[in-house]
Amino acid sequence: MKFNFELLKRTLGVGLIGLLFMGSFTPITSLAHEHVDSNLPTDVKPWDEGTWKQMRLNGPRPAAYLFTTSYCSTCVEAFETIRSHVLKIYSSKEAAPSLTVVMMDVSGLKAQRHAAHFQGLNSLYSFEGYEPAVRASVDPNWPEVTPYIVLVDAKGKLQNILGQPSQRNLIKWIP
Amino acid sequence: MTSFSQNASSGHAGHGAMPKFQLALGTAFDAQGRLWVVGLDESQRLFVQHTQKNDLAFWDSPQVLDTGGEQISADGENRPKLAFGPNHWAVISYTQPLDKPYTGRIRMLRSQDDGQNFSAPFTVHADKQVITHRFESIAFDNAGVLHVVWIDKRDQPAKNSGQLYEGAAIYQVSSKDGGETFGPDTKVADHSCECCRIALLENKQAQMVAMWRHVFGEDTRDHAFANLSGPVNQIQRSSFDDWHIKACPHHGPGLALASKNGAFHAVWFGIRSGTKQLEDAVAGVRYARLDNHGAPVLGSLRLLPDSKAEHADVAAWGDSVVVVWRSFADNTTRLKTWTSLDGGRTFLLKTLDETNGQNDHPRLAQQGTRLVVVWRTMKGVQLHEIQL
Repeated sequence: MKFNFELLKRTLGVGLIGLLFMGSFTPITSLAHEHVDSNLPTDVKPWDEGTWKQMRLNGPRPAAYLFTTSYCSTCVEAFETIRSHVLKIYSSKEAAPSLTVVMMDVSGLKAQRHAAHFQGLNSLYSFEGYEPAVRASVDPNWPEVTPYIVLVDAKGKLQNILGQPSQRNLIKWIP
Repeated sequence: MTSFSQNASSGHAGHGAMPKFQLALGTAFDAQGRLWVVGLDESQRLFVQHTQKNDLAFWDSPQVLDTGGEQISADGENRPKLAFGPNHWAVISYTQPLDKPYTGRIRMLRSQDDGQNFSAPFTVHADKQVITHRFESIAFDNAGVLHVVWIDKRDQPAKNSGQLYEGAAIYQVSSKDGGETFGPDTKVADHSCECCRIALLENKQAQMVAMWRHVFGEDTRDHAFANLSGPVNQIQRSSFDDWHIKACPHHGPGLALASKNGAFHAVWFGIRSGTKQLEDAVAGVRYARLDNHGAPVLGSLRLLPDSKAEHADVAAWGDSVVVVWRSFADNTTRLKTWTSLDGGRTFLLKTLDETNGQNDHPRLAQQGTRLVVVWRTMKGVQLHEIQL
């Protein structure tokens, strides 16, 4: 038996194009009227290939960035662990580090609705653009695994963490 | 092609209210040799489309299916699927995410006329709690019985009970009449990982087997294998990366029947280190042959020759084995294959395609010696036929 790598490359073109033009693109109206927790950030900002560079240069310090998806059920615990550490150290909300959640798979009101899990977050973003490139702009060695966390300490030093942050990570971040 | 790209990109243009375009497709051949795909169009509607008989160059018109406007998961590892059985049966399944986060139910549409017409969607499992029923896989066995397996959280203890339960569980149902009626929900195993696809196929003994990412101990996310007709929790560990992590890898395994040198070919993603520090770890997609019980065959483990490999799938026929995956580098996602003509002992690497835009995980559709790589990008659905 032998492989023939004369690839018969075909593109499902005409039919699919027809399908796509059968209906105009409309947002899901039920979401547009949905109640969203008023304690959550009121906007979902785009996180594109240039955002991380800007955050590193001009973003708040110390800060925590949690990258997550709408189906990452282990991400809530990671956020809670970070927030609990912050609450142990800071009594004033104003002085506390910035906690940012970045949704990778949903945007808009879906992202905002999902963020209800992350009580105490300061900023909410969602991936915008070419997902692998956006991911690589944060860390080229980041496999598509969440939670992915970046802790930025007061001097701008980074810790990149896959999974749950350890107490050691947190103490190193904010002693 | 251009029109598709332009139209699809509108899904990203209006940041805020616009939902993201979900690209994840399911694919399968029917008994007539037509290749089918099922997925969501730009307007988030479920559609099916198929080629003409034995000709990948020509596609019939797409058919939008009435799902009553319910939400459908079609992103990453959670995609609509379709399967064909005897008696002109065809079924489509998907996970419907519910309002409460991380919850869902497994929905199905059935056809009795080779996919010309489909029923309204119905729920497959008897359990109607608003909990996780997600990441389903479906397959007909050679006797025509339809099998559905999924990730289920009904066994989670109450939040304040003080009891610990790692991960979720794998449940299954089966139907002898093409999805018209189902038997009871039964548990396959406790402590599966929570967000990865399940590999499902029939073994040489005509029994359904499954492989999934499993939580061993407190936080070791490796892979388990089970015969679905066996007792609950009778599982075999299939991978030994010893990846200690409490996270969602979003990478399920791929599994194919082997003719010799083992019973199965398997591929999976893992980080083999036991540390959470990325720079110290050996992350990657691995290949191994498994014996009839799902245990790795000694000496067969290989790391794919691509440190950026993601979301691999595998198929085999005779001595031929094909592994396909996607890989991102230099702002480009490449579609790659690794092929063996000697039952998985040696492999040849090739790049089939590439894109600079959003893209789905590549999937393999097989019918005997016919093998097609199906890869949806913003340009459309790309097909690459590999002749075994």
